[in-house]
Amino acid sequence: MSLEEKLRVKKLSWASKNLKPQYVRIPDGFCRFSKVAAIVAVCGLLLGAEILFNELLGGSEYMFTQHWVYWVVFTFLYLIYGFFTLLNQNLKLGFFRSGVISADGETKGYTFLGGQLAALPFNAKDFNNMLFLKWQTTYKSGIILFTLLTSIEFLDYRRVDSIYMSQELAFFVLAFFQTYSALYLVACINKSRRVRLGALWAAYFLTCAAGLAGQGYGMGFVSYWFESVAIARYVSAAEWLLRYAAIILPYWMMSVICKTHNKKTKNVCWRLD
Amino acid sequence: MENKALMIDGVTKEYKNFKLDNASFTVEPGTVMGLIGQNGAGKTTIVRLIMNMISRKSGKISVFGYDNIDDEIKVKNLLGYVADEDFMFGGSKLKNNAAVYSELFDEWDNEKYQKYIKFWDIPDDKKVSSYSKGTKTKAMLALALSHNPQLLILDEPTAGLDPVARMEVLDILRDFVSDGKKSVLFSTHITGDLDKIADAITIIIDGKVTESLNIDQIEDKYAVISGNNSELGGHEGRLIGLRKGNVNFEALVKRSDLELFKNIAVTSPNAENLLTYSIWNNRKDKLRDIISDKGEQA
Repeated sequence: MSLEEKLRVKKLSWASKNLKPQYVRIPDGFCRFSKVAAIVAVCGLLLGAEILFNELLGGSEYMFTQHWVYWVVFTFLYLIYGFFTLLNQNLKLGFFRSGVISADGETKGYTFLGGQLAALPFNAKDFNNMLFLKWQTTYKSGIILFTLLTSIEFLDYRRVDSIYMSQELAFFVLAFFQTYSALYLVACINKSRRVRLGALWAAYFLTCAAGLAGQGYGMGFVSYWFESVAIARYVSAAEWLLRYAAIILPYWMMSVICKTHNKKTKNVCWRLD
Repeated sequence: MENKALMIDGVTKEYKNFKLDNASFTVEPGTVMGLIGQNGAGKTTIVRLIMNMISRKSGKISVFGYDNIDDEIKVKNLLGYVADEDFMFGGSKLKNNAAVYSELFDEWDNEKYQKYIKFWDIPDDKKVSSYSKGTKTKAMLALALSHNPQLLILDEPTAGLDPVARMEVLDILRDFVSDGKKSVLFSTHITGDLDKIADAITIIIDGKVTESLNIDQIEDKYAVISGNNSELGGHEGRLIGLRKGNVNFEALVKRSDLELFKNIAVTSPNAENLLTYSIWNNRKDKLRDIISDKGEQA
């Protein structure tokens, strides 16, 4: 991305914030951010309570987190929360306009207003670049969180319980950000609403699978992959390298895919059609 | 810059139930081009294609010689756009819009903007969502005109305006093109507005551009005839469109066919004549069926 392009993306982002687009009306009663956030917080508190109980009182059982229902519910809620938060954020930036908006501005419960950004002196590439940068930011957040969580393990690797817990969380976060950000990008670029929703559901199941794999339930490829990472934890240098390779490789892959996609199609993911 | 303000050349766009088919026309500098057609004919599709809001299947669109995709940013600076719908973001104040426009467009004239909002009494410190439809249109016009565009693209701009505001807008447009360099593409089905200001008319029917002529060419090519039904003299087949009552008729006809009709009243066609008669032949029988059904049921 040239300096000029970066500057335009910055301007586009600024324009979006000032114009306050209201693209989406989430179907009534389907989702309330505060409620979902509260549920996620409760799940987090349960997890925290378990860790505290085990650490301070010497307990060794993870009642909630060892049950698959916990992971499924937690992931589902987290994903809904993440989905709508990201959706909302990105709509403000002008994404997700493709496919979802019809010529008359209304499609199946979603009401989109606007298009004003299209009258401003930006080109399709600017919108795509912004999408890419947004994805990059999401991915980088994942890397930072993963690093933090694996750091806990690294510092405290002899204490089996806490290793187990942080390992589990690290798996979850890694899986979530990898699958979600990759599929999210696919979802944004693809014009078909069906594909986008499919990608989000796929992210959900993959993240569930990752959570379960972290629990040692074993889920085919995901399990094998994560267990490979887990085995490597005894060799700290290799562990770090392996984990970062696991994160960075898909990152570069997605970068290449995104750039190729842009070149090939002059993609205009924000268009009305 | 090239001498055509807008050139649309063989543009095709397909939707599931609609096709804009090989549309071509040009807008000359210093002119107001009226784009007319019934609802759903493809006017807004053309406008959106010009704005690169939708992708075209084939063809070329250029604004003052610049391709609207390859030189999109340059083209957007040359275009002032007023949409037919509620396209302004309601949560923002107009003054924020103006701030964005002033930052992003190459030539922003704040003095002009202030003049327009004062003239139309638009409270620019209120959220756009609180405006009436007419005020929103005026606000869009104020923004579009204030960044000194060379070509105004107006999609049904007068539809929500009161008669006084409509006249004001038409005066503004007339003044806008008066330097002989700037142009207006005015998409509308309120053909009366075009009779007042249009220098040329493009007719689009069911996704096809059927005619694109300047006013002189229209007068040279077409005529409206009216008279007693007996004066048709069996030449109905030569008429482009015909409205026939029990006693009298009115029809659109090519001037080259005028000699067929003796001693008949002839006038120059207006935009409404062109549009209505161009589509009337196809629809009159269907309408007659509906009306007669209604009559029978009653």
